Amino acid sequence: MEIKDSISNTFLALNYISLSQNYSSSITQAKLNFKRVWEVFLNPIKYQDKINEMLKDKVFAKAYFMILQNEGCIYQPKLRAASNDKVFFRSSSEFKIEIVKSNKNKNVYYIIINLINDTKLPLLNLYVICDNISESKKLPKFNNKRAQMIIKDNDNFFDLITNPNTEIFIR
Amino acid sequence: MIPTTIDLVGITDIIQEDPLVSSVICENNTLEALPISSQYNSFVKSPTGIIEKLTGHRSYRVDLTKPIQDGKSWQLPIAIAHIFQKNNILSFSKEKQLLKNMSDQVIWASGTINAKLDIKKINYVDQKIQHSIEFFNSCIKSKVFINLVMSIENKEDLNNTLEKYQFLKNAVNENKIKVILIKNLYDLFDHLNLKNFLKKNIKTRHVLKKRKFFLSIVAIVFIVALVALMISSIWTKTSPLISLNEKKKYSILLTTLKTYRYGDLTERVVAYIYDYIQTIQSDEINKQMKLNFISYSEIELNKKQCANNSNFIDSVCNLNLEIINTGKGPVFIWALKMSNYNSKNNINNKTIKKSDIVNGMIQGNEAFLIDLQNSQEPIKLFLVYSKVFDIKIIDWLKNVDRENSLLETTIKRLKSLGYGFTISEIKNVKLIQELI
Amino acid sequence: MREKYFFDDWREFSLQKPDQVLLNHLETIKNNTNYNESLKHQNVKEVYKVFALFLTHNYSPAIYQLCLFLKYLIQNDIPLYSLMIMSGNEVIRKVKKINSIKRKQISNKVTLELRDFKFDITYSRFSYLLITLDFLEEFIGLEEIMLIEESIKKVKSQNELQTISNNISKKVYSYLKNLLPSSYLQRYSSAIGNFIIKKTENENHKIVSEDISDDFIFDFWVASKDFEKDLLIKTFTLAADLCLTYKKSIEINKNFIVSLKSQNDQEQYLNLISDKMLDEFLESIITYDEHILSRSFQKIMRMNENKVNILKKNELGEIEIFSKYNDLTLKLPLTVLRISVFGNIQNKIVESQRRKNLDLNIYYESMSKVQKYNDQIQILESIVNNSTFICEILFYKLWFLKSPEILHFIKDYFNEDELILFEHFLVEQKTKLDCDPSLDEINLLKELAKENIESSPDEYREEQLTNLYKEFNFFINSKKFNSNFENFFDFIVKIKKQSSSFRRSGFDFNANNKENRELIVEVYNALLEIKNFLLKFIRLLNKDINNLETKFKEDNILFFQHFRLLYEKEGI
Repeated sequence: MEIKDSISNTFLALNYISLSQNYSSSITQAKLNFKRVWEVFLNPIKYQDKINEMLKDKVFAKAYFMILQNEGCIYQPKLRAASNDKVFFRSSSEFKIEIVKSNKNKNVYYIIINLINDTKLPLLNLYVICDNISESKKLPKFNNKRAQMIIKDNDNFFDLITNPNTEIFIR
Repeated sequence: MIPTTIDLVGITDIIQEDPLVSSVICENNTLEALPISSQYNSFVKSPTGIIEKLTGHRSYRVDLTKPIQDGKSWQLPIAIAHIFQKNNILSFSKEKQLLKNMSDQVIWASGTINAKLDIKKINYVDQKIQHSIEFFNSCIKSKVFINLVMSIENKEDLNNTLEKYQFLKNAVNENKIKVILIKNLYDLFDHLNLKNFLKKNIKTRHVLKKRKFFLSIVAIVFIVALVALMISSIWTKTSPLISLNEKKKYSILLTTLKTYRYGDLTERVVAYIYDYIQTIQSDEINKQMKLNFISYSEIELNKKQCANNSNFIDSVCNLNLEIINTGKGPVFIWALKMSNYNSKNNINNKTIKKSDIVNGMIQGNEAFLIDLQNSQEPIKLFLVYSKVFDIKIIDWLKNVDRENSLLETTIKRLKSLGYGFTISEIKNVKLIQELI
Repeated sequence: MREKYFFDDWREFSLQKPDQVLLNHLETIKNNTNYNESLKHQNVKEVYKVFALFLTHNYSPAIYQLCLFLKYLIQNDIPLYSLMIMSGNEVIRKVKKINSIKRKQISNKVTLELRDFKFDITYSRFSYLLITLDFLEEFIGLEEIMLIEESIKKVKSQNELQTISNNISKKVYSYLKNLLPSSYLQRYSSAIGNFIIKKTENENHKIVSEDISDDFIFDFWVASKDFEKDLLIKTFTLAADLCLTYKKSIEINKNFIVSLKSQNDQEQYLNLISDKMLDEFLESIITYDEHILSRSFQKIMRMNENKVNILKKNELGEIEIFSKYNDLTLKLPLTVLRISVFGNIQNKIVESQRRKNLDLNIYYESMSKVQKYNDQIQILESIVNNSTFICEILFYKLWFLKSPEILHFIKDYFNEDELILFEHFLVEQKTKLDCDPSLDEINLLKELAKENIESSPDEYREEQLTNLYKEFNFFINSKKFNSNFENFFDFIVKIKKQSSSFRRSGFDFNANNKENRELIVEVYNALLEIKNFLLKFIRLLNKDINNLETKFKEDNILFFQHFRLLYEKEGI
């Protein structure tokens, strides 16, 4: 680096530092950083409505699931399914998911989640992620370690949860 | 129709779902279960709920025209709907149209039901009626008969409300509205002349219940009879033994016991019990009697030596046997000093020897002393104890003395008859001691 | 206390987007919170240092160390995502806990161990590295950071880490390279640099501090009209400020030579620059406003804000520029004068223009009739006199309160003979002492221990001062009878009279307690600094400029020439 450049850089540094002491940042579109991801993770109720939108951003989803997996959640990895068909039953050491068709409407399904162990974690959302596409749905209250949701088969969530390559998180 | 505090709700569908699914109530085919779904699930599923018991199915989806958020007064109308639907006489409302065109009757119900199918009172009667006025009007206009079903506990509330709405009162008087106040769900179906509906299902249960009761009675009777039979058979077998024992007909007694031991179940049981009792008796006496061997010497020199009371006694000492009765009551004793038990000798020696038998009675807490003469041969003592005097014992002892092989039989006999006994042996041995 | 910066008055200086972006980055990191919502980086200075590190393109060693640090943490199961919401202290605590469980020896550092490679990182370095990580996240984004973590996890050798570090440096370089050129400040800096080269008429000229002279600044200001349209600098004050900052940059860089041509020459770079050198360089950037004059000025300012008016508000206004530029003002006294005088005029002109009643001629005429430079000098001199007077008053207060601290200042009020007597007295007293109080802390402590004296150095000094004062009292009162300190006592009498009629709001200091006395000493020292500095300045100015009056007349013409260009012609 030439001296001139170095002087120039020092000049910039001096100016910026003195400017910053009285500067208040304009709220430009906040760049995505880990702090923001943490904020969503620590305040799931506050961000309940926005979480699906946020999960569309693959970078956010990757960071979010990294934190989720390591900070305690109930997790089911992808299945070793023989075929590519939809799966309607998944179980692991932590929970079981059964997907049952409704007799009322062929396009409507019940998702029944049964937890196997007691857990102290607050369980608010059901997250599904497959090949970088992720979605979440709010869980109803668990009654005796059992919860039930109703979903339509044209919902993207349904496709994801019946896909054997999907990983499932509950938190 | 299900009245609520806000409006009137109709049922648009009832569908049986997969038994794995928890029952849900939704609003008009939406995908979200209403908040009362978990209560409804408990209301359906056995053992908490009644619907499964009434209809035989444990999972339903019910759709309503409008949401119900809270409360339990939907229980009565939903239960009626389920029963009607099972018997195919229920016609569903439509989302915007509570009353279907072809209906000629409608049931407006509000109440809670308990496990015994009793209908309990609800609140806000006035509000519920108020929100249904419009509907009642349209029913009357369309000449649809209204059945107003509530708990008899709500009678006063209902009457107060009817007073407020004159036209309703008139309608009741003109027989356009029938007010049915019931105590129990059965009463409703009686009222509606639909007794079979409920009974068909309930009957089987009832019958089963009755039968259950009958069966248990029978079972008890059977068991009692069996026990009695067993006792009587045991008694038949035992009583001769007792009488034989009393009459002291020992040989027959012992023979009978022997046959019992190899007989049928009852006999074996009897024999076992008899033996057991006698063993207890025998042990009891044995415990009571204590033996004490006392060594002594008249020679001054040996007195000290012989004063030691142990199992090792110098041959110069004399021996006394002290028999102590530690019990309260008197005990008869027979003591046989078996001379020699070399049967071979006996055979050659044809002289009938006199047995050395001592017989006596020891009072409670007293002792009896027998002098045992010194002898080079080992001495065997056979002692028999009994609480009652039995003359036969001396004979048995004499027989044993004469013929040692009878020892075992005699022992068995004594045991069977509940007598106590001991056999002691005194041997002369050489003792080698290192003095230095 | 808020320092007033020229930027505030720069109506024509507005931040453009790249500058804003960078300042936003800095702001974000300064305000970064941990999961407790308390500040993540408690030490703002360190944040500035790292920021300066990035701006001056010296970030490669720091990035390399950061990679090693991350590897160490990953080896100890502390994932990157949790680092992002932990402060330096929290990370230290966590690492210490892990090490205590592993039963490692307590030390002030941790060691990263890879195949055949060991590297130590001290705990004190942690917060610095975390700030670096935060800046990296700001510059290259979250996704890149996650990818970096993944690649560091797989690393097994030092070479691989080096490669990763190089890649990161490249990414930062391209980010800054794309961002900065269009920044306003960058363009000004280039403009100044280029103008210097142009002036020396030598393409290969190496820029030195002397290149920025009074004339240069003036010429630069005038020439700015020929730069690109949006680089026109209207106010002389702005032009002077930029140039002075540039001059400062030159001086800082003089002590820190970077002889590398290419940024990618990592190894050579690492060998040339030691951490210590870099640190000193960065320190000089962030602490240039910690000169003693600035501190003294700030102290007086603070007291003013607390309603204790040592110097008047307008007086402070006149000397504010010295507080900003400290020693530079001594090198360019003419520019300082020009800023004070013509900068002022220009403000009035701008105001008139705003009110649309500008008549430059009137201003010119009025200026021609006065001697503004002389006036300005007089203003400064009066401030000096005022300071001296206030110092005397303060001295009297100390004398009156019988405080030993008076001994620090009393020499100023002795005449020659009195001074000799006093020096003798001091020498005499010194021989009686066991230890020399003027030693530094450590040596004094050693001496005290040797002599078995239990007090701490501070206590010892205080004690000695008190004793000295007692002795001095005897001394001076005994000498009184010999009329040896007549001059001094006359002075005391005089100042007593003056102080009784001296009225200044908030100016009290009559309470005889330690705090009060310390405050008086502080204020005295501050005033002394200011006074001495101003005297120095005036002296240099008189040395530089032979005839102030002539100079003013010349400048007047020159300045108004340019003012006419700026404010009378259309389109400017």
